[in-house]
Amino acid sequence: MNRTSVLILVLLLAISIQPALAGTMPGDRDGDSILTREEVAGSILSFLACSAGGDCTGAPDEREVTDAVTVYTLWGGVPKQVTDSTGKVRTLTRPLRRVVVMNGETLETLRSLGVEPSRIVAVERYTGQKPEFFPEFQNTPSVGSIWAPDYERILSARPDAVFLYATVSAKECDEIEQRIASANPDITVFRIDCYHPETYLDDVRILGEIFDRNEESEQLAGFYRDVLDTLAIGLSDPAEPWPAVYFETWNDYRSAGPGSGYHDKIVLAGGRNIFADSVADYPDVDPEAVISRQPGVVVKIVGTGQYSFGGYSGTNASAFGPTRETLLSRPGWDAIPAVRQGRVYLLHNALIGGPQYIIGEAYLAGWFHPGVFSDLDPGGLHRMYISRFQGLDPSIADPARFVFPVP
Amino acid sequence: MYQRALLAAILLLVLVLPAAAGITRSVDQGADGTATITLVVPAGAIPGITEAIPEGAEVTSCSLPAAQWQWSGGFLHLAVLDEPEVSYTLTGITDGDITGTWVDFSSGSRGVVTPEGEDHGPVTTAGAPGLPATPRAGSWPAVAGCILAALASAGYLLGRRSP
Repeated sequence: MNRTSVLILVLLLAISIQPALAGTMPGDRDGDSILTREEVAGSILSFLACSAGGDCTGAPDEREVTDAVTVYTLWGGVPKQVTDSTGKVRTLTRPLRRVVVMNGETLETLRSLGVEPSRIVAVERYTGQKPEFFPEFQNTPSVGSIWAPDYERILSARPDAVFLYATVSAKECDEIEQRIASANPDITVFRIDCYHPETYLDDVRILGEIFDRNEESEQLAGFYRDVLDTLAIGLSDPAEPWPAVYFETWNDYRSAGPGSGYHDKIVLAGGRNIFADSVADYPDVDPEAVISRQPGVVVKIVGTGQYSFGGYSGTNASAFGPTRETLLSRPGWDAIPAVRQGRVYLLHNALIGGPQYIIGEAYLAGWFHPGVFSDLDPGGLHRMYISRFQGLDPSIADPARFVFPVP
Repeated sequence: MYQRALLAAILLLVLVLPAAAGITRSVDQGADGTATITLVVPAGAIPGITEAIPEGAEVTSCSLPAAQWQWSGGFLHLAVLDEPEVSYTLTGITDGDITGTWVDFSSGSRGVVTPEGEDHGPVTTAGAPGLPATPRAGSWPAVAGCILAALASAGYLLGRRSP
C-alpha cells in the first residue's frame, strides 16, 4: 500500500466518522433510546438559555432541538423502524437531514412528497443531464451512478442515508450497500425502486413514512388511484373488445414479452400484447410476425437510443412526424390494420417508465379504447402532475414533446 | 354608516389575523403588586419562548411542569410541548415592559410575542423583541395590509369631506 492509498484511506475513515450523530437520538441525554418529555423540554430550555446569552455548555443547536421535537411529537419518542421495498427493517434515530439519492425515480417521488431539496446532498450523475426536469439539483454534487459509483464522493457527502434501487440492478445496488455499510455502518441504506407500477404506491407510502410526509404520500397515491380506478371501471365491460397491440421499444423490432414491465402496462390499459407468447422479456421479433399477427394498434417508444428526441428538453420534437412516417412505410405494413386505420402512435419513454407511467397509461388507454376513455385527458393529467406534484412549469408537459399524433 | 362598519371590519381583520398566527400575551394586574401573564399558543405549534422580565420583578410560579420552564438572568424560558396556554406569575413589579420571542420547532418559524388587549398598571406588555429574531412569517403582509387599510381609510374620509 503506497502513501497515496494510505492517505485516501485515512481521509475516508475521517470523513466516515464525522456523522457520528447519525446513530444517536437527538436530545436523548441518558442514551436510553427513549426521548422523554423532560428530555425534549431540557433541550429546548438549554437552547433558549444559550441563545439569550446564558450558559452554552452542552446546549444543542436549533437543528438538534427541531429533530428532538420531531422524534418526540411524530415518532412517539422512540427510534422509527421502516421496512423498505426489499423487506428489510431499517431503523432511524433522527429525521434524515443529509440524503444521497442514486435513483432518479426516487428523487422525483421525493419531490412529489415535498421533501426539501436542501436535504438532498448528492444525486446520481444522470440528474445533472436533465436540467429542465431537475433544475434545483443542477449544482448538487454527483456521486456517479449505480453502475459506476464514486464511493469517495458518497462518503464525503456525509449522508445520513443513501437511497438505492430495490430490484432494478439489484446486484450493483447490493454491492454499493455492502461497501457503504463497511465504510460507515451509521449510514442507513434504503432500497426503494419507485419504478414498477405494481409496487409504486407502496414505495410512495414508505417514503412518506421515512420523511414524515404521510399526508403528502396519501395525496400522491390518490392521484394515481383516481386514474387507475378510471381505467378499471372503463375496462370492466366484457363487451368492450381489447385490441391486439404491437409494442416496440426504441430498438426497431424489439418488443416486450410477459416478463417485462411494458407488457404489464399494455394489459393495464386494456390491450392484448401480440407477443404475449414470447419467452424473452424483450424479444427481437420477426418483422413478418408483426404483419401476420395483424395488430390493431402500434405503439413505438421513443426518447432514447436512436430516437432521442422530445421529452422535457423538447429537443428536436419535430422528429416525431417523420419517425411515424418511417414506421408506416416499413415493408408490408400497409397490410396491418393499425396502419390502415391510422392507429400508430409514438410515446416518449419519460411517460412509460418510472413514476410518470400513469400518464403513459392514460394515453395508452385512450388509444386502445377511444370510445370508452374519450373523457380521459392525459395531457391535463400530465400538466397537473408536473405543476401540483413536481412544482414545475406545466408548459414543459406540452403533449407535442411526448406523443404523436397529439390527441 | 354601513360603509364605515365595513371599513372597520376590514381594518380589524387585517390587523388581527396576522397576529393570530403567532403567540400572544395578556397581563392581568393584581392589587398586591403581582401580575399574571398568560401566553396563548396556536394549535400545532411546539415553541420555545423567552420572556425578558423587567428588572426587579421575579417569576414565582408557572403553569408548566417544572421541567418545562427556567427562570434565570432576567429571562423566563418556556418549553411548550402541547399546552395551548401558559400562565406565570410575577412579583416585585415596579415598572417596565415584558418582551418576548419564540421559535416554533414544529414549523421552523419564529417571531415576537405580541400583546393582546390593553395594558393596565405598571407592567406593560410590549411587542418589541427582547432577543434578536428574524421577522415572523406574515409580518410583511401585515405591514402592507395596515398601509393599504390606512390608505383606504384616508381615501374614504377624504372622499366624505369633499363636496
